[in-house]
Amino acid sequence: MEHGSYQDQSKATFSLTDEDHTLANSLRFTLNQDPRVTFCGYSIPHPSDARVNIRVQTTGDAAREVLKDSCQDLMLMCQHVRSTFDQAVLDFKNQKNLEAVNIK
Amino acid sequence: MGVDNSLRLDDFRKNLRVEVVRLTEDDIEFDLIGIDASLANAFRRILIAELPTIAIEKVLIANNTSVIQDEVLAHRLGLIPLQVDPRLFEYISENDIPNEKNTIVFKLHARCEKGGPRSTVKSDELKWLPNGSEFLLATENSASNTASKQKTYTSFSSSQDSLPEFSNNPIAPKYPDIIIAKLGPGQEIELEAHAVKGMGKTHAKWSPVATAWYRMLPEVVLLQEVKGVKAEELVNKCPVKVFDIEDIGKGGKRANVARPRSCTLCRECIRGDGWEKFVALRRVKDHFIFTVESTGALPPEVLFTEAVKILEDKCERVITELS
Repeated sequence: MEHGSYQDQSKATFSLTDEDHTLANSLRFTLNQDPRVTFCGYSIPHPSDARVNIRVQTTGDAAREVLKDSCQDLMLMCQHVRSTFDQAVLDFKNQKNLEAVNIK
Repeated sequence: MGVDNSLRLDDFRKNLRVEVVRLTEDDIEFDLIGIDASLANAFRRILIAELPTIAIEKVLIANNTSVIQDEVLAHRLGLIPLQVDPRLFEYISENDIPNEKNTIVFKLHARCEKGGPRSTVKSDELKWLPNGSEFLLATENSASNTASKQKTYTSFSSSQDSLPEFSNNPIAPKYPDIIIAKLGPGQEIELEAHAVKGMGKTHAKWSPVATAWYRMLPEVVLLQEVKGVKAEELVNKCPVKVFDIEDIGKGGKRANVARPRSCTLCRECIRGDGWEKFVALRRVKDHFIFTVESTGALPPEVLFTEAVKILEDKCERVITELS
């Protein structure tokens, strides 16, 4: 749900349901990395409701597009973390196997 | 637009390092370097609360004459970790019919002989029923009782052990020696337990990790050179031996930081007069030492990979909502 102005698309508050600090803080971090963003923050109106308000203000681009791009960036970062981790686990297992063979 | 973001992403790709320190069947300790605290915390939160697992939810008690109350027994059964891959099953919601794709049925029938010694009911007495529930639903129509098909509490259209994953390894609790209840002579427990998929957010029994935590790498910095007797003193102060002595010719000694990773930040090294000028204790802001202990359903490295996938799914959901 987007709360903003039809005239000024660069400032909006996005209200996401069924979300909490897990996604909101990560999104806030990636939003801050984007140079088009002048202000971004998130709040949780009430801890019993699973709802997060993310406020995005940009230098002119539509806030919705900037948020979408940040989500994409976060997805790419996650994919990279996953592949690096899988590679590290494989390397560790191979190294253990090599050590076991050497000991024998 | 894309230029700025891709530059940052390239920086991130260059700086991110993952080093596995320890990997066993049950736990993993690894370092995530070059990542921000918000992402590390997101992974930790997902590992604890949003990774699906399978645990016993509904307990149909036919007979319980033990001293353990029904609800306490059901609570204990729910907390038993089951060795089954939750990715092979679907969620069940309120109005769904329990079938072989969303429910796992266990049976527990324990009896302590009258006149015999007291007995203990352990988790290996939970027997898997691959064909579904054996308790019959009460039907009003007495004529249908003569028909061959009788309705039970679940509707399995096929047996679960016809699936390749379960044909040779039956579903069972991960640890066979968990004490469920203790029976005195003449007491009996007969029940059926239905296990379903859920998330730690709803109840802690569905959390796949014993726990998952991270700490940031401690940074111990010597602000001034610590030489001679003071160096010896410093090395002896530290209870985990973070400092070491190195020789600098002509019998001189100097202290250096050898094992910052084992530092517990107990601050013994800056206790006493004037020591704060010599040692600074900080944490490295982007070096996270993760430890993930699995309860057994999935191996710990798979758990972390699934947690990252779930964060990606959350992003995808937001993108679709925005489009």
